[in-house]
Amino acid sequence: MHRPAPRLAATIALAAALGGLGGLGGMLALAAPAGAAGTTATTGTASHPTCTPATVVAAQQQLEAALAGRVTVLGSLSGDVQAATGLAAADRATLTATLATTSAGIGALVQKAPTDTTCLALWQDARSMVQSYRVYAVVAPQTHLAIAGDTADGIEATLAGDEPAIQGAIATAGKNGVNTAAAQASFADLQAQVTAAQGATGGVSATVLAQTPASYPGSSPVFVAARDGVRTAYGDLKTAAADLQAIVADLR
Amino acid sequence: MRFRASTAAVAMALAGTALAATACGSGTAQVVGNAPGTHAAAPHTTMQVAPPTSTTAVPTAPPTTAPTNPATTPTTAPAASPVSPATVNQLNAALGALGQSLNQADNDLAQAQGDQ
Repeated sequence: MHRPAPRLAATIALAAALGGLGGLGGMLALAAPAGAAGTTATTGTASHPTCTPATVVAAQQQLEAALAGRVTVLGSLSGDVQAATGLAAADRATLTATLATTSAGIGALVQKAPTDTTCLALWQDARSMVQSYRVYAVVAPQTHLAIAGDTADGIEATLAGDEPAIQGAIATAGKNGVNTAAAQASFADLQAQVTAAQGATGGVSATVLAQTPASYPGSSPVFVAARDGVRTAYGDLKTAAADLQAIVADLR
Repeated sequence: MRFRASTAAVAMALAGTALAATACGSGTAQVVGNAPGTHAAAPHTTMQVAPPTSTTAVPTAPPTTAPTNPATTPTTAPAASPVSPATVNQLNAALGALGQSLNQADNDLAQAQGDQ
């Protein structure tokens, strides 16, 4: 039985810290190559599967599947960015560049993985796939939260821009004898909801777009806070939209 | 003579006296005042009388019709929506897109907890 060398122990610890290396079933996560010879070694934890000469092919297939999953996700994210009408131009450019860089990196690993013949090579590629790109932990939530944040910003701007016209319509109706008490109350609430939404989404897109794979794991609470803020704004804006519909009905 | 007659007419008008400077058939100007008999020609008399009559008639007509239109027009104004239907549709579409992006973000964050 091999006793893990210091370098190997470090890689084992790193793999354990990764918490599974992107769903590779532990074959690459808890197995690390021993030394420069490229031979295999166990971690000393018998309950975890390891990458051995006998399981290199299986580990390779797992890596390729993990890469393929990321390719699919990246393609979906690119489609979401292209279809997002509420995405600001600058943020669209940022996301497009991020997705292009990530796709290129993952694509290179897709090309390399089938040529790997050792556990060391597979493990290095798996580590790069996870640590260098963070498709699931960073890129995906970053993309969807930036789209959501910008979309919320756009709705807020539209409603805020319509406020003078709405107020004017209420005033005109009042001068013509229409009881505008309800419309005025709805308008006041609309203004409050829009203001609250603006406060909840202010800077969200910039914050999430500033996250990088190197930001992980600190990026996770950032994304959760951003999601919570946009969801709060979403509720505010739905209420504001209901206020607007009530005003239209009251003035009819 | 013409200059002097015009000057006199302006002066009289400023003094508040009803006067008219008219041109007579001889081509000379003549000042006509309220005193009867100072100007016997018929055209002069007509020119003096006509303006006051028309002055009272003109202002009367427009006010009769003008207030009617503004009174009916504002009655239909409140029916106009403060925002266009297209704006409402865009708002609803944007809210739908926002909800969808939020759901995707929820899924991302849930998946990220088990897979980096």
